Amino acid sequence: MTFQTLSRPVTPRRTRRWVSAAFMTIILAGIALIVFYPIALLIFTALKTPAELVRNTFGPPQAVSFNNIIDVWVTEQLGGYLVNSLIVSSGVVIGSVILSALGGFGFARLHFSNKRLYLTLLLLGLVIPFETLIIPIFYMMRGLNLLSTYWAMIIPQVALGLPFGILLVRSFTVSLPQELFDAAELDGCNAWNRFWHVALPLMRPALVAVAIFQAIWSWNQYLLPLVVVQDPNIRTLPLMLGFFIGRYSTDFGRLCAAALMLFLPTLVFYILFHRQILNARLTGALNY
Amino acid sequence: MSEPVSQSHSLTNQSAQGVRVARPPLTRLARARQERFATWFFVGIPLAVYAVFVVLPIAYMVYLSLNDWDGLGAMTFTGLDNYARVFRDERFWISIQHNVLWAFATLFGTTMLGLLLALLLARTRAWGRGFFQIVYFLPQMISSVVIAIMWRWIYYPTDGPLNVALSSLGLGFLQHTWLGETQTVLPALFIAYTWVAYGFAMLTFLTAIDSVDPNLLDAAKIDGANWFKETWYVLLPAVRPALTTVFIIMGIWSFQVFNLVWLTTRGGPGYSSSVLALQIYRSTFVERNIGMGSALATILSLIILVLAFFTLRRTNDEAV
Repeated sequence: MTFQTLSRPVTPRRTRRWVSAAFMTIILAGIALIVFYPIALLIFTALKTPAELVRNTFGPPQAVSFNNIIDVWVTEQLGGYLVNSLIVSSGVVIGSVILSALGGFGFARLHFSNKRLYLTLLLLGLVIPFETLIIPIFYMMRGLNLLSTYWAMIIPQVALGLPFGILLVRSFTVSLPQELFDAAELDGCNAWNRFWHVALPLMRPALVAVAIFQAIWSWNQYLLPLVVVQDPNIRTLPLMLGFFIGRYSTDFGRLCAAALMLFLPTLVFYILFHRQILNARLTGALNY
Repeated sequence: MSEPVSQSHSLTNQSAQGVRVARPPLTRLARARQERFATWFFVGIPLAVYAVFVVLPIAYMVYLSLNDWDGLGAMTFTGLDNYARVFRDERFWISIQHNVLWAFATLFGTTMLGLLLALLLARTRAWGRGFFQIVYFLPQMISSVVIAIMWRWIYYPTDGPLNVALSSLGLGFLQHTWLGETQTVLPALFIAYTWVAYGFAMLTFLTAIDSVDPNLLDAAKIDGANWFKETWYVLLPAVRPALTTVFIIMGIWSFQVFNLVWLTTRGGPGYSSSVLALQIYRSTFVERNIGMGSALATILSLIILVLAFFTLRRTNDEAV
């Protein structure tokens, strides 16, 4: 290497890599701040007094006030609606997991005629949204005398979650080695034993994904309860929030506080299970 | 299906899994009967729930669309009258128009944002990719009611952050009643919706980018490709199927919107933000014209089915 080739100072590659990495990280962080800002606004607004809200629209509250939150819990009895949401979501999760496990196993490891036909029927269900089903479901529930009950909210959500659940569990179970089931059958296991002792323990990741997805979906569900519930006591949290918007249309402090109550459990859930969520999201995409 | 072993083996009471199994020696017939019962149990129960609460309602909905009903009194069969009325109804065409606009607008927004972020996350050497992925996807998890409250506040004309920001930047003349003016209401909703939905696009593109064989990239590098060439010639072709998926899914979602519009503007002002799902709700539960609501719902289902058909066809081709 002669002196002629060193015509200008050259930053070593490692430094350049580090700088570009740092730079991109800053950009990503900036974007993250922009994305998160509306959520931050929600939190800030919930914690401000009405007076401060007018003065300080953008930043964090200088004097954190829990008034709105207390108000919303006590006056509006938010706790009751939270319980309703919990009941409905739990019911949906339990029902979905059980039926998806059964159905997924059945489609994967049992033989019966017209399997492909039923699969296609399930696939179609992936795209049907509640927006089209609410009319018949309302009148069905009315006919069954189930209006304004938890069942009216739980059953349709379980049913509509079945295509996603069954297909997910099925594709998972299909990927399990056939030898396991053959061995079990050789030992005289009937179908139930094959399911309970062989498939079920191994299916767990798929069932967890189903549970998470249904939990989130049912927690955030607004339209179905809106249609099916007339009794204010049975209302779930999103439904109640919807009514809040009408009642407190300009009291944003209270509105944001109430919204926070719905959002915080979601946030916690998301932080705990983000990996499963981000993986499962893609399969269940069609029925947002 | 494997044959059951001969009786002599079944005298042991433990299977390979160490499970105690009841072991009456089963005849072929008994086993077949048992399998058939199993089928009914495992597959029949979920399918029954699905059939009663999804398939049956769809059929019922189509049936309702062929009748005139107010929900209380008698039903009169009217055939395709409701559909004729729907097609003559201005509000229907306005709503569909808004859905189509919604599809185009949010499609571009979410695709561009999603692709950009996916590229930034996957193809640069920034740190904390997992963390940023989590943050970027967060809006998708939020209930639409919370979203509605959030953006009602942002767009609030008197003290809301957007207008206050504009005035403090000296751009006071740009202030609007964002959700209350016919010109601004849809764009305002599009922005809110894009903020929520771009995460899905980003995730889809990330998966596509991640699935590119790293050897391909290495080969390109050896051939002298720089960052841009690598991205353009190797990654983008891999991303193209994901692009189609995102387009179709966003299209489907755009036709399903209800919560966001209902909770922010109720379709207003007037009908300037009305969408199909809203018309369905209004026709059925406000105007008590179940026949027309069902007709609208059937039309919506057909639209979505057509859009979904393209997705399903592609999913089958690609073993997603």
